[in-house]
Parts: sequence; structure tokens; C-alpha cells
Amino acid sequence: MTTTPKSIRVGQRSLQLLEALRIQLADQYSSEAAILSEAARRGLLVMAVEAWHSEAGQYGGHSPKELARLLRHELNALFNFLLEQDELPPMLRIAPALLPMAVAPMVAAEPVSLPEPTVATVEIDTSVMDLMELAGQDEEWD
Amino acid sequence: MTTHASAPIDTATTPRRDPLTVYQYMLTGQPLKDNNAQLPQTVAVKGQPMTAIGIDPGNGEMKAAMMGLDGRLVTVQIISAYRIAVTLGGGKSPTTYTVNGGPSFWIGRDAVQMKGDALPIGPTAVRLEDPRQIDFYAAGVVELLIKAHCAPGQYTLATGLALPNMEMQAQTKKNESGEEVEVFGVVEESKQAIKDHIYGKSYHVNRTDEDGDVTNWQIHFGQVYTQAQSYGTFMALTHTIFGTRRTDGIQEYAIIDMGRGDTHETLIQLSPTFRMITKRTGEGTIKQARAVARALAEFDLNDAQAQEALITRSILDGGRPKSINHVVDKVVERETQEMLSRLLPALRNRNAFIAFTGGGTKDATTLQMINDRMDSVGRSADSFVIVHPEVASVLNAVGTLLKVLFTELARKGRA
Repeated sequence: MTTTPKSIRVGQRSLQLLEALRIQLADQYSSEAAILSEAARRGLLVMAVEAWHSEAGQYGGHSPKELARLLRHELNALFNFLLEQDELPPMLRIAPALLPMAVAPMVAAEPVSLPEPTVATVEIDTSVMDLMELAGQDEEWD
Repeated sequence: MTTHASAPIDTATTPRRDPLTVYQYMLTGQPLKDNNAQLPQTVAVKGQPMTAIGIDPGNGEMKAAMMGLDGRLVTVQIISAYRIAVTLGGGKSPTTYTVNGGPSFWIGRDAVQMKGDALPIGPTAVRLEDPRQIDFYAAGVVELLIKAHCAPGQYTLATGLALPNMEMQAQTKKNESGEEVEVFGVVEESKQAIKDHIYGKSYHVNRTDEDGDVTNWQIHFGQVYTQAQSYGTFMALTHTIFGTRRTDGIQEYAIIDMGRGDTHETLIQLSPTFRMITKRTGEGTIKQARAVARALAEFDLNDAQAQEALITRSILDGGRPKSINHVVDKVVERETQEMLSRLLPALRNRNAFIAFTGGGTKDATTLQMINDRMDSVGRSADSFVIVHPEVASVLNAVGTLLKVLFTELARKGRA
């Protein structure tokens, strides 16, 4: 793979992280520049999911399916780690869906469900609608 | 110390605690939970999951509310001020937004501090004509999602809008039993503006925070629910999280909403039939803010800065904060006296229970003057309430969130 030098400014927090990684991952990456280069590669892939506009450069030039596959490969280690630490975000835990999903999944290729909530949704006294419908009718917007 | 053997609780004779109203929950800051049930963050609208939010666009501040996953109410209040972002010579830049690839801008207190403009005051259609307005709302919704610990991503929103009371018009319709009833709907001009700018529209918000961290949010206004803003206050004051009404025998309410742009009086009659009558009784706190600006003409304050000066009772003079208590006290006293004089017929209406609300109740001098006036017209303490200043501003937004939640949960219950 060819590389091109790019000069970037790195924040203090990222620098501290970089120094720590340099010690930990010395056997995999020969320099700080090598770590940053890999971080940019992985980070840009993650950011590509935010480039959803149907214009040039959509999803970083990948098809959605292709990007999803690339991410799945890249993020497997991350998900395994979160799973081990019991820190998987709720939307990625597989459990019966009692509530609709709070957030559209950004990276999961398959539908995911929320965990069983510890509390149930209230049961509404449907007579609440009697006054509410008078005070503000359902508008037809279409 | 004596101890007593614990006897089993006789549930048949133990008085059951009345469920709290949403307003009571707000006062205590407790999650909206009861009997291990809570209001949800999302609702299914025609089978599609949507995040429920309530927005009170307001004249001086945008207020918005949604449920946290833990059942807590999450609210934001953002001053309606906007400023195109500029490159600063030094220091951290305020949080910057772009919407749908448009210009970078700042909002709220940051925009005020950077000499930004107050966004237009007026009816919904007039406000939404200004393209900065919807960008401001979109950025405000992102702030609400962040406060509710939502991750950047795509959100389809079931959005309750608290509209100015005057934009809801009574129409006569036949109900399911064929009886003619009075129903409130959105006036055509506002409806068209909502269709043009909000309903079914998507906005991509790029947010760069003070640390330079960038996040992207795609918000889609999937469904819109409308409600007169003062009815939102009534909802929050009188409804439990189960949708049941707790009016403690009260059959007629007068909601006096001292907002920024206007002061409104809304009469809600629950018996024998539901009726809602609303009228504008004068300007809101903008009048006080402009009077403060006139009294401090040498500072050349715009509306947003004057409003901020009115609330904080402080102004930067020669680079240092300076108290303007004496100016604000004089202005507030004069303007509140005038407002209360205009409201006198309502205050003397012994048939109604009065609820004072809106940002205007935040001021201690105003609070005292309302109490004094109620005393002088012979109103007993249990015939009125001044909504607690901590929650007065966001009550309409919470009320409109309740409209979204109750509507969809009741539909599900009826299905």
C-alpha cells in the first residue's frame, strides 16, 4: 500500500493515548506514525457510516453493504472486548424486544433488539384521549 | 426503645397513595416511574419506532423534552439566538453546527456572547420563514439527544409541537356518536409552515464541540403532533404518568402564561363540556427586556442580550460583570404592575383555579408581586398556583411530549 505524508494536529488526550499504545503495541507497530496511520485507516472507515448523503463520496465511496462488511471485520475485536466486559451497548444485545429500538443501528448488519427492560412501559388510561383529541386534533400532514 | 412486631399490611384498608402528577415528579426530579412502570423513550407510530420529543419553540428560548432510558425527564432550554461562526483568534471555539451542509453557526448563550442575533419573534409561519430558525431547532434537538445520552446516528422523531395558543382554532365537528363537538386544529398558515419545514423533513447536523470532537446526527421529523402551548401546562399539571387526570375536583382552570413574546390567558372548562378559550393579554418579558435595553442605551443591547441581562441581572461593563439590579427591579416592578392590571378580570374570576406559568415567573420580584396581588383580590392560597420557577419554562414542552406519548400509548391500548 502506498502512503502519502499528511501533517495533522493531535490533541493532548489523543497524544497520551498514543504514548500508551506505543508502549503496549510496540511489537506490532514500529513507530507512532505507524499507529496513527492505522488509527486513521480504521477511524475513517467508522466515519464513513456518517457520510450518508446521496452525493459524491457517499459512505466514503463504498456501497453500504461493502462498508458494512469492512466494518464487521474491523469491529469484531471491539465487539468481543465489549462482550467480555459486559459493556455491549443495549442495542447490540440480543434479547426479546419489548420496546421498539431507540436508535437505528449504525454498524450492525442485521436487525438487533433491545434487552428486556427492567421496568415496563406504563399502561395508559385511554380516556386521556377524550380531552386531548378535542384540545388538538390529529392533523393530516400529507 | 420499644419494637413492634411487623403486622402484614392489609391492602384492603391501607389507603392507596394517589399517583403523582407529572408536575409533581418534575418538582422532585424523580424518574417518571410508578409500580415498576415508566414512560418510554420511543413509541411505535403506525408500526415504526420513533423517538418521542416535545418542543416548545418559544419566542425567547427553545425548550425541548424527552424521556431518558431510566425514566427521567430530560429537558433543554436554549436561548433563541444565532450567530454565523467565525474563526477565533485564540481560545476554544464554542460548539459549532452545520445543518445540511449550510453555514457553520453558534446558538444559545454562546451566540449571545458572540453578539449574535435574536431569532425572529412572532407566529410559527413568520419564524420558520427565516432559514436560520429550522437550523436552530435541528441543533437544539441534537443537544436534547446528547443530554439524554443518545449516541450520534439517525433518529426518526415523533415530535410534539407546542404552538402559540392563538394558532389553534376551534372547529365544529361530529364525534363518533354523531354529536357536534368543538375541536381545536392548527390554523392554515402555521400548518403550511410546519409541512414546509418540519413534517417529513430530514436534517443532517454536523456538530463540533469545544474540544474539536465532531459528531454527525441525522434527524427526521417522522410524525408531528400539535397542541396549544397552554394545554401542555394543563397536561403536566393535572395528569399522572398513566394518563389519568388528577384535578382534585377543579372544573375550570385559567392558565396565565407569561412567556417571552406574549402573555396569554387560557380558560379550560372541563364541565359540563370541554371548552378552551384563549386570548392574548399583552406582551411578555420581551417588553421588560426592551425596557432594560432602553434604560441601558449606552450598551446598545439587542433583544437576545437584553433578555439575558434581564435574567442574569448583570452586564459586562468595561470587560467586568456589573450588577444591574436597580435597573431591572425598577423595570420589572413597573411592567409587572401593568401586566397584572391587564389580568385583573382573570384574577377576579372566582370560578377558575389559576395557574401562573412561563419564564416570567422566574423573577423573584414578579413572584412577590403576583402573590401580593392575589392577596389583595382576596384569592385563597388553594385557588391558584404559581408554577415553580425551576420548571415553569419547560412545562409546555413536557406537556407536548406527554401528548405524543399518551397518544401513541393510548392507540396501542385501544388496538
